Amino acid sequence: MTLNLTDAEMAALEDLAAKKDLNKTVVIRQALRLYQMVDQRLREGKKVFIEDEMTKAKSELMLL
Amino acid sequence: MEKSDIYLQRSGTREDVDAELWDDISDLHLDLWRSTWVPMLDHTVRRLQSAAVPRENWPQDLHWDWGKKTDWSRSLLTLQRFAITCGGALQGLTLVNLTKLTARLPSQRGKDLAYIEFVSTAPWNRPEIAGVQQFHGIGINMVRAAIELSRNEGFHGRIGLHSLIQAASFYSGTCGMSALGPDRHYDDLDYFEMTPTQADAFCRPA
Amino acid sequence: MKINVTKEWFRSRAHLEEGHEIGAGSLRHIGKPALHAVPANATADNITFGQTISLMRRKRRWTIDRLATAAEATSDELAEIEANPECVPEPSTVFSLAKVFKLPPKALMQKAGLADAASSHLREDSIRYAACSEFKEPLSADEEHVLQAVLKAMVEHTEA
Repeated sequence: MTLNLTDAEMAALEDLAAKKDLNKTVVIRQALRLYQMVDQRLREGKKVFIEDEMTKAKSELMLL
Repeated sequence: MEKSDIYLQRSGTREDVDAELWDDISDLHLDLWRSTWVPMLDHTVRRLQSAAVPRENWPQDLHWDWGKKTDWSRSLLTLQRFAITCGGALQGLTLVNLTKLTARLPSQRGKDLAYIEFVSTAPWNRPEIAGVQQFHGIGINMVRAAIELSRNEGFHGRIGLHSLIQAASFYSGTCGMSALGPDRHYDDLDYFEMTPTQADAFCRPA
Repeated sequence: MKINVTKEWFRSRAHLEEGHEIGAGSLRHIGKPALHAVPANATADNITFGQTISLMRRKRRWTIDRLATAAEATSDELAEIEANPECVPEPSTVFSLAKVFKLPPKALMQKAGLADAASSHLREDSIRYAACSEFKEPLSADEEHVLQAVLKAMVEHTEA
């Protein structure tokens, strides 16, 4: 399978790989795992939130 | 499903015995869990109730339902399962999550790790349940499996877990993991991590 | 996935595990419900805020997730409220819970330790227990009795 990424997407992929000490394939795999997990939770009727540790303010992570 | 040849040790005599590590939890493993672990765990609950032992002194995982955990995990790529058998009996179960947490140790902060969601050994291997211990070695084999999974995934052996209270000394002492203290987001259970260097050391003979 | 374990490695480490427990994992599990969440010696005086919420939820046979939706709170927050007697809940969450359960907000705030208790009979003691998000078994007769006493005390305190 060949991935067609824009320059910005490739830059983001390389940036993540560098920061996380992973190769690009693993970054893509992790992204897929997370996406599947979030999708599953949403299908179960759950919500996925992001919480600010300091203020405890919550915002909902939406997947369309 | 792949099988790896491992060893367990008979407690007391320290006789090495051949065992198997499976890289999944099969329906057969679940049948064994239901038919051999659950009755013993239920009996333990009744015994603790009859003796009016305060709840906070109970083993904390008596009600874990490995059937539900396995069902839940099978549809998700991020979750990997392991089982250990010996002599046809189920000796241990583990669930590992590849995206749950990133490392918290300052030297590893933000890097991916294999997080051990749950690990259990059979009730006859638990002194606090059975009074005696039939086999030991399930813990080090499961930690080794998590490290190898972490390496395979490109995480260089990094692992993390929240230890039940009674197991904290095993992870800090026997496994050489770094203790990061109680985690208020996880019932104040102690959180432990292993760096790549610690993982390499663990995988060498002591 | 296969692993290669040498006998030498195993023998050098196995004896260190002898006698140890090895369990790891969050207590907020998916699984069989915990046994009764409120200890046998609970009374209206010593029952905690979290236990009160647990009883109110279970009276309705709701899961934590369902209560979270009704109270516009997160399941994690409510699970911590129920399981951790030292948890200090958000005032907005306590108000939402009071609205959901049709309880006097001021009395519930005092029960939660968020307002000065006008009366010492709403004190909190730490009694730990395990809660499960799937736990929605009906209340026992003892639990029902304790819950009614707590509700009565809240209403009486508000009217005083």
